[in-house]
Amino acid sequence: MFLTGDIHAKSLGLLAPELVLVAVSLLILVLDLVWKERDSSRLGWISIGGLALTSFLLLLAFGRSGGPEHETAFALVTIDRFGIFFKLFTCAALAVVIFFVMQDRRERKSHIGEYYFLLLGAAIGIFFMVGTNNLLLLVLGLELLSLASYSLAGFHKAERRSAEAAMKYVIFGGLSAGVMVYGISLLYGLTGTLDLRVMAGVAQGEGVTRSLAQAITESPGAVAIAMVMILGGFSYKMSVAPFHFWAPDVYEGAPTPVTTFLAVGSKAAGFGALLRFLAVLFQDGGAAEAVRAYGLQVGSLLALLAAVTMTIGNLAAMRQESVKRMLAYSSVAHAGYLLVGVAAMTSEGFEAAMFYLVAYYLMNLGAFGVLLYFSGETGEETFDSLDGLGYKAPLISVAMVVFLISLTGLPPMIGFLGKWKLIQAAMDPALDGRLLWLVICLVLNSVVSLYYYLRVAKHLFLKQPAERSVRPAPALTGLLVVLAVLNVLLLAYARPLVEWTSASFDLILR
Amino acid sequence: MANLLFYLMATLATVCAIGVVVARSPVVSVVSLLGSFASLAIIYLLAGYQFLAAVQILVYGGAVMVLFLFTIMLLNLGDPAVIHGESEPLFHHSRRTLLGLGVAAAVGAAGLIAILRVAWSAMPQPAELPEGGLDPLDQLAASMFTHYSLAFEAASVLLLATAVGVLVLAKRNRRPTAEVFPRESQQPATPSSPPTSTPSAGAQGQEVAEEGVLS
Repeated sequence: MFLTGDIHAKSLGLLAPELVLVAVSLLILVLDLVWKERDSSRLGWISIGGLALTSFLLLLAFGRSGGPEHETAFALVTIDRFGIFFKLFTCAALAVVIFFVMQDRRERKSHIGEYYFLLLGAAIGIFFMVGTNNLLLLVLGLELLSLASYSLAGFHKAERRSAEAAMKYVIFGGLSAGVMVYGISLLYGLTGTLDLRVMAGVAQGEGVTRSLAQAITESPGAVAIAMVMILGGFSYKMSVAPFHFWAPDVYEGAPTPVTTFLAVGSKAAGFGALLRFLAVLFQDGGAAEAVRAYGLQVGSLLALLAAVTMTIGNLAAMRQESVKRMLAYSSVAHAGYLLVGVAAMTSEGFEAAMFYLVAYYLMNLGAFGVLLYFSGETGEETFDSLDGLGYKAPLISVAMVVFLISLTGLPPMIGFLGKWKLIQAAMDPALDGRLLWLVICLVLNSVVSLYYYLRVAKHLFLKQPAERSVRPAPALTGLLVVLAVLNVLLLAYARPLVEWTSASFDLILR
Repeated sequence: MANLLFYLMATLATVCAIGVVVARSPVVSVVSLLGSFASLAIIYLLAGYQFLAAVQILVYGGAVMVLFLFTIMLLNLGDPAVIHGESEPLFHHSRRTLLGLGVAAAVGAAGLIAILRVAWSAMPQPAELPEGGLDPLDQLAASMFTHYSLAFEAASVLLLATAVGVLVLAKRNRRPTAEVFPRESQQPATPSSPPTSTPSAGAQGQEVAEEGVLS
């Protein structure tokens, strides 16, 4: 089938956000060459401007979409609200990360145009990952994100830890990608298609294809192996046990803005792709009964992973001496919490996971921003280096306490509502209390996490006031205070946010 | 005849792949890899994928292999036992080796089951191969530039990002690291805190060695 010119023009129009992002990233690369020996922060502002333009186009597309039939660009990228939700999320996260890069006192001020280019390149990868029902483009997007992340993790290559982080990340990433592609190749061999909707049997494919339902009845073993391997690939991106080993070292060694990006943007991308994969394959109303039953089994596996991940993350976080490493393990634990919603395998569960991601965005970006400020001042990331600094930088420290309480999941912060929705989804009467044990596990884990989150607050406020003085950072403080206020405010006015996330989940016909 | 050749090549590919892992000298390892690539290319040819076979030889057998060999020769990577004057066993922990073998066997068995359960039963009778092979160039190009045109473009972005990433990691900083982190260099280095901002002695030594090679 040859696409005609008209269809091409229409597809290009649908891909406008991606095209803008590619154009801005190329512009950054060229300007970095042309503006030699200049302050690189101008490039940062251009990147943020490009992200704002992309977000604007995405919002327009969000308004246009929403019907039961989704348009596709070049027969590969599906323009649905689910994809746009995650693309907007990525833009919002990346804008803050780029702002962090500009505020990072341990970073060079010039010759870092590649930094912005690689961050934007990673975003393009995420756009393809979360916006496609085709496994080929999914893998390409995942690789684009991964390859950009490897170089970013090693950006301070003169520092031993940073070089080590890049190396470990490459090896783990390469292995996990290999495992995932092997699983996808099995699935392709079994069904004859790479399109998830054709696999699910809700769309007609080209050539000889078989639905997943057929494959499950004929060769359950091969499908099981393929599923486990593909979930392994997703687990690596989401830093879910047993594919989380890279996370602490990479998070600790990478520059703090990159760590922020990995913990928020990259992780959300993994969840976006996983949610789409599971929803389209197993939950569509047109899917066969056998396939849905199979989806529930996959859900039980995910429930197990969720419990293991949150427990490992929390227990390891308690024993850390470095705040950055503690936040790394905390981000592993949060991947476990997010999986609780996924494991329910209901639309409500998936929406709860998406809502939790928004809450996670608000609290984790804030926590990393505070870490960025203090480590820029003290040159260290240990708990002890924070001693008494709460009296020197009160505004930023109070904001940190807000983020920590939100991360623990206590009211009156949005983290509480996020966890509440996850628990609600897991206690859905349709599940017959099958996930009750997981809810108990989640609550116990949250109690454990209180210990190490409050330890930061203890070092900030309950120690002798520090002798060192800290330099003010008005712009960063302003952003962090806004994030902290949003943490509180969005609990009180959560309704529009909740409705927006519900409206964004339009992958399947209910 | 074709079957016999297939089994021969499959055995050769496997033996060479094992050789890549167990060979002590990097050069032997790379040459085994070359053997593995070549036998795979012949398997592709037997299966009717002529273009794929040609690309396998050109890209992997040619370009990638030359790159590997050049790197090894330039960096003077020889047999570690010869260079360091010590002979260590290749596999230290027998338990870990067993675990690795077990995992490899499980993965292999999984693939085998998949093939036997699915492909074997539904295997079509061997038909006459079409004139231009199973992957005639025009059809491949048509599919790549129409149906998968977007994936093709995405791959180009991926390659660009990779090239920039490699440059970031490989290029040398023209200015000393002390200027990169002015704040840290102002403070007197305390013995308790590890000097993270200055490159370690090992890294410096490596840099000198690299310069020696390049000049």
